Amino acid sequence: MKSLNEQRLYELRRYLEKSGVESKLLPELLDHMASEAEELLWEGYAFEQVKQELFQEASPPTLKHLQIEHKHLLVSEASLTDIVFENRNRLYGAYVLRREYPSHVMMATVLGVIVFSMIFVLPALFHYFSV
Amino acid sequence: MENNGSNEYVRGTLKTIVLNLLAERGRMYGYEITQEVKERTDGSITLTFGALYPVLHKLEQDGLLLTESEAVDGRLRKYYSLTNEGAQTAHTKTHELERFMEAMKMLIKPSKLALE
Repeated sequence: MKSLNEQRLYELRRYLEKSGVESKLLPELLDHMASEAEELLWEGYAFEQVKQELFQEASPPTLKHLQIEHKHLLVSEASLTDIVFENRNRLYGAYVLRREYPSHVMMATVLGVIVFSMIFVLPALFHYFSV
Repeated sequence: MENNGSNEYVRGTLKTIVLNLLAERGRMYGYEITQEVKERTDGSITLTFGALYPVLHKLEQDGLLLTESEAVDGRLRKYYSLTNEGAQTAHTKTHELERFMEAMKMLIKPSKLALE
């Protein structure tokens, strides 16, 4: 199968960029469209027809929907800490401190509750066994 | 590409279709998956662009798929493959779907008899 030449590939890339597809998502969609274009060209369609077909399937609303969906996934993955530190130096140490803060608080709470309840439980136990 | 009636049913089974194909083929890219589905079903099931990729990305995020990118003809191709967890999920999901199809057959059959 003949592969798509650079200029045509560029045309598809421009279309995706203009439709608001961001760089994280773009290569994959470009490859999909290019593969489909190659197949259709191979079947004997003219490039203009191929483009029409492609732009109908990957219509701007579809692309917009894909872009939004992709963004939602990324946001749900990144924690608030990741967002705060998006453009900051993570190696400095504050990132690690922040990321591990919840588990530290949890541990401190559990330990605190145990120690505190010992104040009441220990005398009772002592009393129980010494009788 | 026309929107045929089976698409309504495809939506609920898309995850299973993708996982099952990957379990069989090992490593595939998005366009390859759509073509494979089209060929195997003689075109009666077509996965649309807009439906397939969100599913792939979701499965990847859930830790069921691994990805690797390779340069092909001046563009990047993203290949998907199953993780261990993905392989297990593929197995259970496929079984679930089979059982569901059996149940569906039992459900649909009586009305067919009535038609005769």
